[in-house]
Amino acid sequence: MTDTPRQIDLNAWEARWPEIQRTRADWPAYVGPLGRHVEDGDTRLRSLRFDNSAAALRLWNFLLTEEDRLRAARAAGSYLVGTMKDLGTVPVLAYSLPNAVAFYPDGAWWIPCVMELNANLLGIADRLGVDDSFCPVRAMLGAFVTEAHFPLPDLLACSVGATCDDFSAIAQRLAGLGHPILWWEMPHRRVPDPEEAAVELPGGFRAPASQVALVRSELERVARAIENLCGETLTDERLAAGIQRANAVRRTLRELRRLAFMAEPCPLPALELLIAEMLAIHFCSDQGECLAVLEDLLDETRRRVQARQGTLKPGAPKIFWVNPVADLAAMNLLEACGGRLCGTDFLFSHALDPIPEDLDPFEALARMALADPMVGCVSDRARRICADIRATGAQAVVVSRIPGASHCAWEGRVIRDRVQTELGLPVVEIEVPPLGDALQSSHRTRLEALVETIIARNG
Amino acid sequence: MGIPAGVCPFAQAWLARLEKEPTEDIAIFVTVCDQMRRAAEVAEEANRPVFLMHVPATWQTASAQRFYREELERLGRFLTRHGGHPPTREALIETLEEYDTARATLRGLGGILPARQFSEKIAVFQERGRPEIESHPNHSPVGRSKSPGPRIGLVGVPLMPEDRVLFGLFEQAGGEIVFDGTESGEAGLPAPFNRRRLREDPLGELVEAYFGRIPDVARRPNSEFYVWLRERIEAYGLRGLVVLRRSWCDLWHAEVARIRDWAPVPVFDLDLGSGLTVGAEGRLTTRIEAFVGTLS
Repeated sequence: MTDTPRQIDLNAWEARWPEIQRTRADWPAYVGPLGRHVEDGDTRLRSLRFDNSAAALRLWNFLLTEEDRLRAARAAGSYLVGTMKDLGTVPVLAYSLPNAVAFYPDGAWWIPCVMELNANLLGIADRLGVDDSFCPVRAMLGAFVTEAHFPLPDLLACSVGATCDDFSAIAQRLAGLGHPILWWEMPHRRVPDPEEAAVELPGGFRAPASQVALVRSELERVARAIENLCGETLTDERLAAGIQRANAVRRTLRELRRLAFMAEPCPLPALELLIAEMLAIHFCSDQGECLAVLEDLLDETRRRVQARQGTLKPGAPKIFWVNPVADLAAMNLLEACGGRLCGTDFLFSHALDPIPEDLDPFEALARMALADPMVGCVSDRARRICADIRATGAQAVVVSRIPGASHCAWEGRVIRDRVQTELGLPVVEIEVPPLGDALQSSHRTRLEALVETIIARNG
Repeated sequence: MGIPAGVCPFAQAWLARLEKEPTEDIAIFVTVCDQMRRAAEVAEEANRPVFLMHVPATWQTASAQRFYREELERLGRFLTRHGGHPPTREALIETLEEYDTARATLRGLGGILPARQFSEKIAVFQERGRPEIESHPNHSPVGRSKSPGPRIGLVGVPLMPEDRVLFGLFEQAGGEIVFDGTESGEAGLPAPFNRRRLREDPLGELVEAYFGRIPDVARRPNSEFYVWLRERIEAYGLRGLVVLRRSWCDLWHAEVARIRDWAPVPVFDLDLGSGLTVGAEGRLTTRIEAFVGTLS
């Protein structure tokens, strides 16, 4: 499609679907009108504004049809690996085997938003004793109880140790309900002691070699479990090839992010960029198609950059966003307030960095896993955020708190102080619940003030 | 040091207390809960020597146990770097035996002292870091309460000194707390050492007695906590169980419903919030009376 880039609502998409259907007859079967997802209960789509490219339509359809893909994969004889908390590691193992598909039950944390609480997953979590003092990922409990949002996995693995208590507690509650979990240890990443053997990690961190060795042995344990499930052997060759495929996705995403954050005018809206980033952690249950979706989106973005077209006015104030939002509409709101997404840390920057290909594959994966921003000190994470801000040229930072997530209580101040001290940039903190409509006015005021501050600074 | 808003009261209290200590004093944190893991970073801001020990949440693998041991060894090197002297093997064995003997004495008091005093004894022992056990004038079974009320056990978050008023509140309501299984109580005591193994491999036995045997809801899986709790419920003849938690303590909070589903006795979910206050005590009394009433 060659339309001028802009953001449109669901009705506009519905009106355009027949035309797209004609011109994209070769598209995969899962692509269809977005309105059908609303009929299935994804009512939040009615409140969102979408990029008007066909590539974005494909992206949204890919995201919203994951459950169908999982069920189809099982019907075709593949095994489903539910992986929790590690955000980007275990899927690389699983997709290295021909008959394993990995997905994140954690992803259920968006269901209360997308279905506007109508699925009552949070109500079920309440009844199980996990109330709104916990992170919205508690919706996962409801999804397991109802079995209405993803098929129950054949194997469930969860990383614990240096992870947030919300998740660890919720996962243990899940195990207590009769869902066996393979727990694997993720140590708190620390600074190597003097004279202690240390290794470089993706993302610029360093860690003691002994910690990498522990993570490696844990990943090998997870790999054995997946092998036993699937009846296939995960050889080093297979894992190395799996890492290469994962890196192909990461490279594509890296270029997409670079253009989305830095090209003028902004060629891709924040919401679609958020969805694209999310695909990197488990390839939305089809690695090959995931790459095709992202390449399509990248092609569209490149076309726009070449044509100097974008979805926002040139010169929109550049804002770095910290933490994922429980309500997707927050990404729209940022742009409605005049801001432009210019860098992200959605808690899984380790899933965006290339995995080393010149190392033993298990060693490489262990190093990547240990680079998770959540397993180290907040100051490490803040340093990385500052480095990313320098690279993208962001002019302000939004720290988006996740309601009930206890780690957020500790992080905001450290990140704010570091950003202000090191870069002198303004920072605002907002809390985004799964349905943020009631807070939208307050959020709008704060985001507009931030945008105005940037404009004033720019003179 | 700025203490962030919204963190658990226990971590806050820890950090507040640390602020009063000389900054050259060493602070040791463990990763058993994420709040304390993150509190370590705040403590470090004061340029205090801080050691954060990773206690693996998993426990069923040799690698987890090995890692715990390596963390103990790392702690030893850290203490040496900060002026400590590595103990000889014999000195280590002797010290471990001394503490083991003291804990045995302490456990013995459990059959003698009223639960509140026993709870305080454990807390003092754990806090002092010295093996001496003070003699107690009530070293006889007559020291125990003769309350005929239902026997109640406590599990949950570590007790802070002001929380011990709970013992009295339950007694006033007609019940009796006979078992402190909180993290600051019996749940925090390691298993008795195997003296033969202690002489062969002192550090290995230390690992076994602590990492191998202390039940905690933070472990993954935490099935051993339930094995331990069932034994205690039977051994103490408990008729009710109180689960104590504080604001933002996700680990205990999420466990309450499971304990309630599992427990063979009624369970009382007692949210201490940010700490017991005079007003909170008043409200609590009514709830405690109602709970004890169901046990009578």
